[in-house]
Amino acid sequence: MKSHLLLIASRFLSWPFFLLSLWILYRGHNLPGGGFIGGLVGASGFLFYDLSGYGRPQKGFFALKPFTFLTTGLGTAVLSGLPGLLAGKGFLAGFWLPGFTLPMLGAVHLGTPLVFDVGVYLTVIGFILLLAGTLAEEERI
Amino acid sequence: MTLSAPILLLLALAVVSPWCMARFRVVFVFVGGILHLAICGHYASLLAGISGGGVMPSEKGYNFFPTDLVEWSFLGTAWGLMFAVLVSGIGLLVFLYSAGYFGAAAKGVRFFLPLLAFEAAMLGVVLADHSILLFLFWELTSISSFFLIGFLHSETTSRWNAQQALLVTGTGGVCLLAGFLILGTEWGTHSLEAWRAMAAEARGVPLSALVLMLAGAATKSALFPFFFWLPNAMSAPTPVSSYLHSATMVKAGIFLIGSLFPLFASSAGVMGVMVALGAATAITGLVLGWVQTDLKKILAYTTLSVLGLLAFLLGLGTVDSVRVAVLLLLGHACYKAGLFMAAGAIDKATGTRDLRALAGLAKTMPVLWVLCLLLGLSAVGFPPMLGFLGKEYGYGLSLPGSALSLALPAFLFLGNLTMMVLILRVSVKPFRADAAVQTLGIKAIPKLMMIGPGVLAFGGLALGVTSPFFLSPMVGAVVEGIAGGGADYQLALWHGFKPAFFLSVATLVGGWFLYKYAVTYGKQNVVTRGLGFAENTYTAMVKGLMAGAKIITGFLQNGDLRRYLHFFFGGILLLVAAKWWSSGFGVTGLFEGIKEVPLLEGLLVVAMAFGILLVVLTMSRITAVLGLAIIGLGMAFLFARLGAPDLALTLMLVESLTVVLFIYIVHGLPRIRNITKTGGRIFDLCLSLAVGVTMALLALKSQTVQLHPTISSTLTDWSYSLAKGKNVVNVILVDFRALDTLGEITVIALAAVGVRMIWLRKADLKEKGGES
Repeated sequence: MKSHLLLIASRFLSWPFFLLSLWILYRGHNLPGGGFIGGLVGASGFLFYDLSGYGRPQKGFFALKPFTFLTTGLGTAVLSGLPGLLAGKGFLAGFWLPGFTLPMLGAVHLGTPLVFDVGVYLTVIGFILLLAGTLAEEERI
Repeated sequence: MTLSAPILLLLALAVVSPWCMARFRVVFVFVGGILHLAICGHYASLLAGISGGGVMPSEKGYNFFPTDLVEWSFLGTAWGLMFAVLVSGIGLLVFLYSAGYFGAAAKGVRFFLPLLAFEAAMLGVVLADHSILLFLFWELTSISSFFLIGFLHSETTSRWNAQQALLVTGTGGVCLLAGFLILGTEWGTHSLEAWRAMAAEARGVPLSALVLMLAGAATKSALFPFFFWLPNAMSAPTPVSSYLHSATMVKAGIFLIGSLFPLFASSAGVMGVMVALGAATAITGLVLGWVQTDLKKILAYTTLSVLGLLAFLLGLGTVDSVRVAVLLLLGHACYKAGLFMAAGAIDKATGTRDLRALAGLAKTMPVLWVLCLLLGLSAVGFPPMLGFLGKEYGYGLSLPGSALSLALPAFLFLGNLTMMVLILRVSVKPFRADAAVQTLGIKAIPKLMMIGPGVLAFGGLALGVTSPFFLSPMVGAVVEGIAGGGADYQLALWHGFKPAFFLSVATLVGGWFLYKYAVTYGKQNVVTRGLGFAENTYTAMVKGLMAGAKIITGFLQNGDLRRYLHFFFGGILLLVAAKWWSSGFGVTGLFEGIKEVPLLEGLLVVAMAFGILLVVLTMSRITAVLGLAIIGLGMAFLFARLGAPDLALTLMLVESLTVVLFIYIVHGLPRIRNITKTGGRIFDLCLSLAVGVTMALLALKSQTVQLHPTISSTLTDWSYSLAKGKNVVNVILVDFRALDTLGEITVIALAAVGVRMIWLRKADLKEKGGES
């Protein structure tokens, strides 16, 4: 499956997809979006990157293994539950920093549910990458 | 935090241990050793405080779970703190021993995670005051033990033995939980201290709870007939056998019996069962141990008999018998851990643990020979070693007016005699020259592996000599805590020329002669084969379970997609129809809620119907996928139109991704063929029509029926006020129901790993097929 159109397009598509996924992840708390969808978009970004360098070994940031995503994602989600546990309010109870305003982003709320969502995001990316990677290898056998 | 801080510290150390071991092993071992030393000293000072008449340290009621079921509460009883000192003290030695045992080998990297987790859990078991908390730690010891027994996981026997230990102790764990819940519900509290006080007020203890808790203790401490898992657990690396399967974990059952002694003592029947089980275990261990030739197996069987003896002594229920049990337990923990470590060192140096191949090591390993001799002397009860106390006081036991009063000394005498032979075989036989056996060459063993046996050998001597001053108050406090008496009892090494003295001398002399002249190991006999029934029963049960599972799986999951769909949709149909009928829902008025069908939605539905026809009728996979995409996108548009943008977005992405993944693999798939006969296709059509109509009816009905008050408006209200989010769907996912989501992403991760595993196996098979 060597299509030059796809090859070149994917070179330009991976970063926008990646940024878009972060945006979707962040805005999920107030508007449609969130870790799950963000993860799907982000995984597409990673897949595009993989396609653009078809067969080349990946380097640097993108060489992160799917298992790293899965474990980091699950770990992040679990860790985000600990503040609630330690405060005696129960595992995964939400904690928020006081809101502040940033240019472009507007009012910003940071809290453990967002961290949890990041965990979901990473797990979903790891899931898709592992699946796609396996399927791609299946093809090569 | 005086009691639980070490537990948390050890857990933290366990979590970082693989990382540390891989990078800076020496620093890790050093820091870990210091930490152990500090923890052991900490618990020892607490124990000394109680022995001197101080109050028991406690930590009360921190609720880490949003219900009252579990509480993070601890109480340092003398009995519990004595265990804590043993666990952390022997833990220190085993920690150093393991560091030497594995050295720089890659295996050692992941060894300390389960080992330290076990240590933390064991401390939790002996210090927890809340029964359910105790149960949690109890289970953690079973699980970490599973990983440690199966540590050499590439060997089938290791895995089988690990599974066996887990299933046996896990079943007992469930019994224990049931017992705790019954008692907790009946008495309205889960505090062990409260339970002890209530039992002392002669309140009736529910018999079912007692029996269940005894079952938990019996499986954990490998009492008859559950003994078989313990010798099999010897497939673990030696540090594990030395720590879990002699000195600490297997004593958890004994600890529990002692900890809830007033409860057990309230029922003469249960105490009688305990005595019988204990005696049976002790005899079984010695009979089976007699024929063993593997050093570790011999030690395992003597451990069994000591566990049995401990249960037996606690079951007798007098203050004196409890004191003997405590002394025996102390002595055993020290000499047995040391002997195991020595056996591991012999194994490491010579490459074998077979009694028949070992001789003459005294010349090549003189230091170990001296240590083994000291440990062996303690084990056979030679004065003034620590092990002497337990044996001597055992002979001094009298049970006036009991049927057992004459049988008891005879039983103990025969037991000690046999035990002595087995101990001599391990601690003397490998070292003495034997003309018939060629002396094996040895490899140098790491110095770290000698610390453990050394400390325990000389510790046994020192504790024995100083016992009248040093151990007396502590043992007194422990016995007082268990049996409610005997706090002022003064231990002594010399008791005068009483029957106990002559029995001791007779044991030592007789044991030596038996060791010299009854060299009959390595031959199974009728009795040892007969005792295999317990394990055979277990094996038959597990095999039966697997066979049953195979039959059911073969029927339900035969690999035919059609059959899965038949079960799936047939099940839905039956359940919905049954509920519909039993709820008395009619079919009238279903369409009342629908006023008009907007044009766009109508068209979408028509397009989706077209997609369905396309999927069903086409013979091309690409067309079928396009048809599915039409259905999916139509659904997404409907969601978007009906006010569920999140759902629409997600569905759209999933649909696109499905198509992309499909494109990845489509050209590897065979062409579509008609496999099913016409009759089958008609059946499928009827089934799908029935399911479709049922679901449509259900959807229509749900418009007019409200079974429960709606919660959507409440959630919307809460969303911003409580969770600071305006997107209620997301707030539900990451805040209100975050635990559900955590479960879901765990499933996602496991599914991905599962797919990977299946693929790896397939690739593996293909490779093998290619070679042959």
